[in-house]
Amino acid sequence: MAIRKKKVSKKTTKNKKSGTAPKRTKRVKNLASSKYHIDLALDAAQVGVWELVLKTNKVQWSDNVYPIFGITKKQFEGTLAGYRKFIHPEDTERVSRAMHETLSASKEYYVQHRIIRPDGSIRWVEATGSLIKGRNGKPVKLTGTAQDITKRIEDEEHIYESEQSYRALFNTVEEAIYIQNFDGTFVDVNDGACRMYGYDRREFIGKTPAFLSADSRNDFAAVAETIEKAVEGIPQTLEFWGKKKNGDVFLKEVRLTKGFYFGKEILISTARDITERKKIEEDLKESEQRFRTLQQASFGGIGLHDKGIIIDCNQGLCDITGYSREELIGYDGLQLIAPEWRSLVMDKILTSNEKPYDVEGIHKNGTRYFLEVQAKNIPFQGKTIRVTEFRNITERKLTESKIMEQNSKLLAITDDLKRKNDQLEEFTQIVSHNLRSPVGNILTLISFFETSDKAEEKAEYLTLLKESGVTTQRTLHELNEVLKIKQNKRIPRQELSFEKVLQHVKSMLSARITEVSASIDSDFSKAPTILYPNIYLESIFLNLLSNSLKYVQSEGKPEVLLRTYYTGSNIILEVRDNGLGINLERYGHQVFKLHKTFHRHPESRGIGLFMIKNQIEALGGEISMTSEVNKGTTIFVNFNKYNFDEHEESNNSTSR
Amino acid sequence: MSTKSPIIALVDDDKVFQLTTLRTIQSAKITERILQFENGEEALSFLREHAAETENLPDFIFLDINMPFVDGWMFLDDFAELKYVLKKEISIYMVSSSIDPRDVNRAKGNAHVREYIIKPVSREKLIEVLKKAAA
Repeated sequence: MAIRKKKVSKKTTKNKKSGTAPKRTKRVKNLASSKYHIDLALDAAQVGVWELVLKTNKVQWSDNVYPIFGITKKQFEGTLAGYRKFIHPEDTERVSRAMHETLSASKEYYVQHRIIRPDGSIRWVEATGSLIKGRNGKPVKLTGTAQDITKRIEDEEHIYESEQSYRALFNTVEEAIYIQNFDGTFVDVNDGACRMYGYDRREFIGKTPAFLSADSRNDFAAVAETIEKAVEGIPQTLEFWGKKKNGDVFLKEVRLTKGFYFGKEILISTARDITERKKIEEDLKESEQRFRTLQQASFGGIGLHDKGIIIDCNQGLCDITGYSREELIGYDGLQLIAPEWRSLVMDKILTSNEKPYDVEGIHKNGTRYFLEVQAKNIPFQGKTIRVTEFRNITERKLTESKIMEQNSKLLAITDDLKRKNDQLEEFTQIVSHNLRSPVGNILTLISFFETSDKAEEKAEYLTLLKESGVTTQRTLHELNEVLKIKQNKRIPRQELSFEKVLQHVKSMLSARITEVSASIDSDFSKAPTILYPNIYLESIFLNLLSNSLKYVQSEGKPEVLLRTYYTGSNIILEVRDNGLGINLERYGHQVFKLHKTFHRHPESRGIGLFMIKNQIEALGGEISMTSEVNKGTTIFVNFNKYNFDEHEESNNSTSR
Repeated sequence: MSTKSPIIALVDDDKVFQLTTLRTIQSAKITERILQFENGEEALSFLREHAAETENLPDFIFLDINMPFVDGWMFLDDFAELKYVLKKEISIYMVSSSIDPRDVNRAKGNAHVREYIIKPVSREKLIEVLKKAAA
């Protein structure tokens, strides 16, 4: 610091020198007036004068020296030692050295040092001096000036600091800063600028921006124009293609402002590399464009909304809802939904549901349509908005219901085919067991008859042969009956009263009813009549009632209850008895089969239930039962379980 | 078994089969010990009752499919459990007039059925089966 300060101070020294020069005039008469003038001048400049007699080390000060040291004339000892006492301990050596150099090498005396005043305050003092030689040419005195330079030092420090901070600031800034003359030449650049181009600071100074330009990518006429405007005081912004020292080309954004640089009018340009930003901007633009294209290409309607209020939407949403985009933006999206569905939609919004769901929408023209809605919450400009897609699924719904309809038809047909197949299988079983068996027996018996020589045995075989013949004939007859039933689907139906049919059947079974003293109750009030073939309904009643009267418990009075009712559009006949019952777990699979009997009853032939099952099924009905051993049996006849006639035709067409 | 005559059980509701089979076995002098049951239930009751009596249990059962009450299939179902308490190993021959492949395959698929014999059964066939079984 001291060295630098010397530079500043030398000027002062020179001035002082020229100021002290007249003192050496030999014209004594002028001396007094000269001294007076000098004193005046020194006083005005607040410069004190001092004198050291080398021989005695006595020191003499002019009056204005004392205030510098913060003392009165009396307080000063008037010696070199007295003066030294005031010198700041860190500066004593410097002062001694300066004095020694002056005395030993006859150099001009010059020193800046600190003093400590009696009140403790520190001041800076600048002292100059010259040796005065005696007649023998030897130095006798050292005399010079003393000045309080505290303020100047402080100012200098302040300026230095502010220069430092300016430089630091200048370089800390990430952006590149260029100080340019109005003609464009660089006066100064910061580290940011050096970093940007890879050039050294010195490589900039004195040059114009032309050397930074990427080849033929900048319009210099336009650049010159912006510089002109900036010089006029209008801040400018321009984009400039730069070329780094290593040849890399980049785009920067430059701001030009008129300003001052250490008292001189200049242009300040700040620049930042915007290659990346530009790329991001372009990417963003492209991605937005892509998004828009995608959105427009989507067949669904897409809307962005904030708590129901539509922020943006695509053409699809306009097409589906009938509103224009302008109408939709700012519109409450909930209004696009049919009122009864709005609370559901609100619920989905509040719970951030992301699964698709179906509602009904309302078109601008008031018509309703089926709608599948799917939405997702997305962050947008610091808040969460919802992207909702509308898909018009009216077409799909219609197709769906058609498919459902078709499917239920197919199911019915399958069911029907399955039953038909079951019946065919059953028929195979009947032929296999019930018909092959007696015929086989006849053959066996004939061979036994032929080979037997005992008359007794022959007679026995003959009896058995007759029986087999009868059985065969009866089975054939029964099969014929079943086949008639199966073929005769279009048997005419008539409106029949259940009550009348029951009375008729009861009269046919009156002997048996009396025999077992059974009580027969009925309730046909819920379904009193049915459209059915008379002989079938009579057959059903006769078989069920006679079964109930046949398999009675040995004790207690047989009770039978018959009733009819509707299940949906189907008429059900229920026949409940308190008879022997059947273990359905064990025999359930055989109940309605031919020649299956479950009780040791002489009249059990296993034909009744088999026959009526065929009759009921031939007309699209179903028979089922519940039973418990020794508790009773309940038979259920569902007369029109399968709407047989309805798909009879389609059945035929598929089989053809 | 070759020293002692076997016990044969006939389970069938068909009177003609019962009689003709009985006569064939007798005339061929295969055995005198023949048990006759009208249906599966009667046969099962007998087996249960005499489960521990080796001397009374049949060696062979000729089983019909189509019978009232307990038919041949139900008999086989119960037999599958019953055999664990039976002191004797019994061979079952299924005898039916059914040529329905479903019946034939079902019988062949049953582990307890040694053979499926289609009715009517000629004397020769019956003797052949019995001799083969007894051997």
